[in-house]
Amino acid sequence: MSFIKRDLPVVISFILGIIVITQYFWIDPTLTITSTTIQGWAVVIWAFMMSIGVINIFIRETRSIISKKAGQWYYSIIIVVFLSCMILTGIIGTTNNPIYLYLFNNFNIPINQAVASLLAFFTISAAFRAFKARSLEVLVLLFSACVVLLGNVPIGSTISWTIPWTRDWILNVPNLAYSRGINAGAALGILGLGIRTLLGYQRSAYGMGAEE
Amino acid sequence: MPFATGRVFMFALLSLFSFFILMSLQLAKKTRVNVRPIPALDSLHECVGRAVELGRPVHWTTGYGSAMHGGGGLLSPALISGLAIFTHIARLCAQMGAELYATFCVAELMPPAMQAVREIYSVEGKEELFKSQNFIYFSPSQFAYATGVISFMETQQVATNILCGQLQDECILLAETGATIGAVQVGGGGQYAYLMITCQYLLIGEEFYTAAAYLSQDQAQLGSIRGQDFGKITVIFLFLGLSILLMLGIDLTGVFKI
Amino acid sequence: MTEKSIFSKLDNIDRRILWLIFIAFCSIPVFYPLGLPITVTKPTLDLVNAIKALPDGSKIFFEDDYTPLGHQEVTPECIAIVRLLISKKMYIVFASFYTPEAALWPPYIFNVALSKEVEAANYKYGVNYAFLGFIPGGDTSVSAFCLKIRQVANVDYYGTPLDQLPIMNNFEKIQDFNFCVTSGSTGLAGMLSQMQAPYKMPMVILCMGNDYSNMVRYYQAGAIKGLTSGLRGAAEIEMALNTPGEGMSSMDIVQGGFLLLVTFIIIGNISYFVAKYRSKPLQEGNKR
Repeated sequence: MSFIKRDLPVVISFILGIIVITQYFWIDPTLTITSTTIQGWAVVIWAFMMSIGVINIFIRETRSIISKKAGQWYYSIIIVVFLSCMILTGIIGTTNNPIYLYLFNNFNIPINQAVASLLAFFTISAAFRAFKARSLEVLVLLFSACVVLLGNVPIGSTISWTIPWTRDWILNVPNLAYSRGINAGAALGILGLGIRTLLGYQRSAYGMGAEE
Repeated sequence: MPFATGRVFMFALLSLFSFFILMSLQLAKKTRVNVRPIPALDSLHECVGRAVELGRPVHWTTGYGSAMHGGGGLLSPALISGLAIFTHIARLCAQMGAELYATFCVAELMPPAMQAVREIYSVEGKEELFKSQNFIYFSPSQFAYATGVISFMETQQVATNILCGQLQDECILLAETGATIGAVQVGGGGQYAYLMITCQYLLIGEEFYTAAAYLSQDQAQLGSIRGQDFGKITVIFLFLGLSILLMLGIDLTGVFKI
Repeated sequence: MTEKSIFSKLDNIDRRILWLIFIAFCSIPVFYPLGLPITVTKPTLDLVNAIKALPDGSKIFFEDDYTPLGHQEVTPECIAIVRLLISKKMYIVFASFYTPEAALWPPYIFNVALSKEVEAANYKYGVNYAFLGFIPGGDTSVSAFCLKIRQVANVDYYGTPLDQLPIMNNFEKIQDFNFCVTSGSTGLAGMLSQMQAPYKMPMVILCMGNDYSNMVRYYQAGAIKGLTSGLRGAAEIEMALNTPGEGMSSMDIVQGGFLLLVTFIIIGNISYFVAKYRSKPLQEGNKR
């Protein structure tokens, strides 16, 4: 039992991982079909895993309605009603169902866009609160942020030709240097993480916390 | 030849780096490996302690990284690394008696996360502290998830906010809310610009992906970090060597296209 | 007990006041547009020229992967490029791999935003263009799609089998396309690693503003032929093609927001330093 629970997931991951990696470099019809089948299985498993999240939402919100959780239960009713509606209309008529499309286009998208616009407001308050020149590094950050912001809009070049020029230099020289260096290191970190996970040194992805 | 054209050099580099990492993994079982301290990871103990003192919970979130939405899901290295940091925090919370909450945008991460934490609490002898209702899935939709987490953080007044996962644009919403409620924040794996201005501790680049190895303090895993450093030295020499040759008029960049 | 000065109050101002000022300031250009000229940068010019250099009737794979957040920034870019593609009578196939909502944008672009251009060019669905909709699986599905399209997509967005669409008779794998336009945010790295790198697919990227700094290194390295980002990118494309649209008209509002942000940063720093100076204890002679 210990092998099935502890080592079998690692063995399966290792074998499947090696097949998919090998297929990337070695063109063989059998290997290609095997690899794409494995990747297709992954998509199907992910699709089923979505249902776990939906069940979690249903259970939590239904509990909230039944216990009449103060300040929450009426929102829970709205969540359960809309969730059920989207699932049912999506199943009955697929995503071309007019009711599904109506709800998606007229509720989901505008609400998403409205919430997404919060980004601008949060950025404003974060910048006001955090961009205080407490040290030399923050001063440099502050200067770069202001120049790049102004260089991104037409008024920057109207104020001075140096602003868009400095913006381009900041983006193409120090930013690029940081980006390449950090990403090269991160890529090696990801390779190391992959090797440790496939060989079973790191088991948190398999749901084994006590092994760490 | 059935070898894919244009990928020979890539395969050679991958083999070389993998060799470095595997060799260092094996050698580290015999020799001691010292890794420089990573302040963000060393601070996790202090962050959980702060939550215990204040009597407020610790919170971890996955970020918007579902497989269905471009993040790669459980295959995403950022989520695997975030999960490893989460299990370490769960161990600290079990030992120190802090309440732990985890919010998810990635449904496929919930079962391994819950299983790992349940095991940890069992090993620490604190099974009664484990609560499955503390694992909250909001939505696979980026901003529905973000607003859910914001509302949760403000209601619970979290003392410690760990933003380590596959974070994208929503991280400014989460991090700014954490900063407003006075939570101490550790960030990694997301938009560094946003995290830097809102988090007290930050894991940048490789630090984030080697977090599990660093936190485990297992010599074999720390050895793999040394192997990564050999890879970095190779890359540096490649950059410098090819740049110098290019300046001398010798263009070897065609090697990359083999 | 010390009375709080205006600077220390400013240092701790309620963020909702900042937000109200922001809304008010950004509303001004809606009524009084400035219309300042926009400079077209080299990455955008290269993007436009790469598409203009393609022969008429080329086969374009258009990948769009952005959420409603990206809709505001990326759709104007896509509209400007699709207008150019239609003018060159290109065959266009749309698909999304990372974001389910992204399947809605191509029908919006063709049936709403560019309906007049589509009608004038006599563009027919299934003959000149097709929407494959959302293909789940992320990098996995991109990789499989490149090898064999029908492995991951058998029907289009409307549920019609691909064999019933005349345009799809030309496409079995990714190499059957001449060019790729990648737009959005979530799938950029995946498209580069799964489509551009292994198959050396000529590619341009239309991305969101905050992805530019990550993508510019691929442009610098020559992996992509052109790059543009955000509403400014849309405005630049419109400027380069001389087809004013949503990008150019939105630049004034973007400009107002950025100016206000810079002003807040300056005011925040002034109030911080003055409050800090005044909080120092007085020394002999009433000096700090």
